[in-house]
Amino acid sequence: MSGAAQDAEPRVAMSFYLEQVAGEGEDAEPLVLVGYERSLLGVFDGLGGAGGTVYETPGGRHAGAWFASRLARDVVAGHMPEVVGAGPQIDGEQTARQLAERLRKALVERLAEFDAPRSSLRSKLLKALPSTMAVAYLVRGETGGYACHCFWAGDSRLYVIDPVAGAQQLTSDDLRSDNDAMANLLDDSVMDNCLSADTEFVVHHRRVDLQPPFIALAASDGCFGYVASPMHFEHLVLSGLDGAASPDGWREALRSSVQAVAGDDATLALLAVGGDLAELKGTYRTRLDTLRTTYIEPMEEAERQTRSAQEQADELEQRRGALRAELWSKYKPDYERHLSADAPTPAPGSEPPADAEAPSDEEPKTP
Amino acid sequence: MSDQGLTYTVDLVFCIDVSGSMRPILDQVKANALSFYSDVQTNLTAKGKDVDQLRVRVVAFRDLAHPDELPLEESAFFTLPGEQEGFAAFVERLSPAGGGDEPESGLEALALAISSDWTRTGDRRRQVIVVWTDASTLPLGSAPASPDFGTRIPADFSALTDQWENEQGAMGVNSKRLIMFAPDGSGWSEISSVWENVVHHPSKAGSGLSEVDYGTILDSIGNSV
Repeated sequence: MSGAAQDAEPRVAMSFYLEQVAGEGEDAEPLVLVGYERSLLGVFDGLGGAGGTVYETPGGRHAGAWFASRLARDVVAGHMPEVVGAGPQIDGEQTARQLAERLRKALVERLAEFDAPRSSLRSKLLKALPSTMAVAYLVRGETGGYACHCFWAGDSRLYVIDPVAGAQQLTSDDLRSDNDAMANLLDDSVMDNCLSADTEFVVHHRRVDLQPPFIALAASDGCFGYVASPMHFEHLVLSGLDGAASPDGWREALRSSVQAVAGDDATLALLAVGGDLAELKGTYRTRLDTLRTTYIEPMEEAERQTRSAQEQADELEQRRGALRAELWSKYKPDYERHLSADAPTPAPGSEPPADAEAPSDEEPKTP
Repeated sequence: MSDQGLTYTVDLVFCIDVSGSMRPILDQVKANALSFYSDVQTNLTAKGKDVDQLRVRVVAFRDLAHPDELPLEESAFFTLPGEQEGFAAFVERLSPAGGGDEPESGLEALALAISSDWTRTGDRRRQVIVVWTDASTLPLGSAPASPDFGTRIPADFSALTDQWENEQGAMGVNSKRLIMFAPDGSGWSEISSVWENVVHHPSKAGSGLSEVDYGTILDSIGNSV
């Protein structure tokens, strides 16, 4: 593979990397390697919740999650060509097993190098050097179609966006719950499989055959985990494309849209096949229109109506409170007639004092 | 794209052993409890997650077999920082007394914590119970609890486990965490090895906790929300 494509159909490739805390991003830089016949996209998300243990090294002090994602990226980038081989056919299952073995070996060795004191904490939540991985290995066939070999562990995802069918998730999230993509947006489940140095893990494989034009992308959960719905994530990608004047503009649009909502580090690697930017915009415009009118605008309208109703309810609540206070002011003088400190309270059944005011039919006076 | 920023809510329930044996360390535990919520908030804020609502409540426990010493006492939720004064006042007046020898009624306190009125607001929630104790636990049902607690205290450990693992329960299956600063011993060891979403620091109420391990605990709460 090389950095520049000399292929039959035009392509656009890009990636971005967003850190919540500068220098402490637990995602590794994304992988985007584009070649004539083979291309590779990859993201690696170090798991800070499980791998928050901090290690001191000559190169710096970082959480285990930080080291794990970078090491996983290096292993995939360095070993993938050898593991898949140069032949036309790729044994995906065998590749997944070999990748898992090499990742495990590298993580275990790295952990040993840290020579860190043993933690006294006990928990199934905590792991040494945990990271996700989502890697798409795309092989162009003789007829122009692509075999997309998906390799993953954890909840980072691979997607393809078809001009007609829209976004399709290619990886199955490794989560303890059975949440679908929508449910998991609001109930972020614990992962039940990820790369790590001290627990067993598997690298999954799935092959998907693609015909250009298509957009393939790898994304960490910082990209798709903080939007209102999976439809909004597709909209984020396609509206960025539609408004971009250049591939850099597309990348910046994606980056800023994700940055506006993400509560986590976020990385994305993307390869669009079957057109230059202008052609891709034309190819995906109908899909973008459908997405807007069918999914995004109705949800935004419902959101607008909900906000409006909430504002009205708040206003009514304020008016109710003000009315209650006003009516109490009117009611209070009679109600508290006998509570005044200098007004003697007659005992039940006793005669009123001689100088007491005679009962009157007049309206009580407001003080 | 409309503004899709998520809202974060965090509920913390502190189960604090206030039996007599805690006398040498209770002041430190109280200080840890008072700073824990701000450490969680700082951890979340540092990761760009602004907490929209943070509440905390306390369940203090001794030994139900010694009912004269107020074996279980709980506060309502305090919303912080607005009700910080009330929270601090409740914690400050906790004093070590009674309880007899170990074990203590930690499981009953844990049951009351699990049955808290957890928040249902916020797009992302974290519901955290933290236990500080120097003692193992009495078996559930070994001494009667006040009828005021109704059905909130289950009959045995198995039922308590169901209460924790219940996917339809008051605590979100993915949002709950149980942090235990408790010795290895009856009750806590079983929880540590069986229950999900638990971090156990085997110790007398957190003594000897390293800074690295404390940071790991905070990350286990704040990082995956």
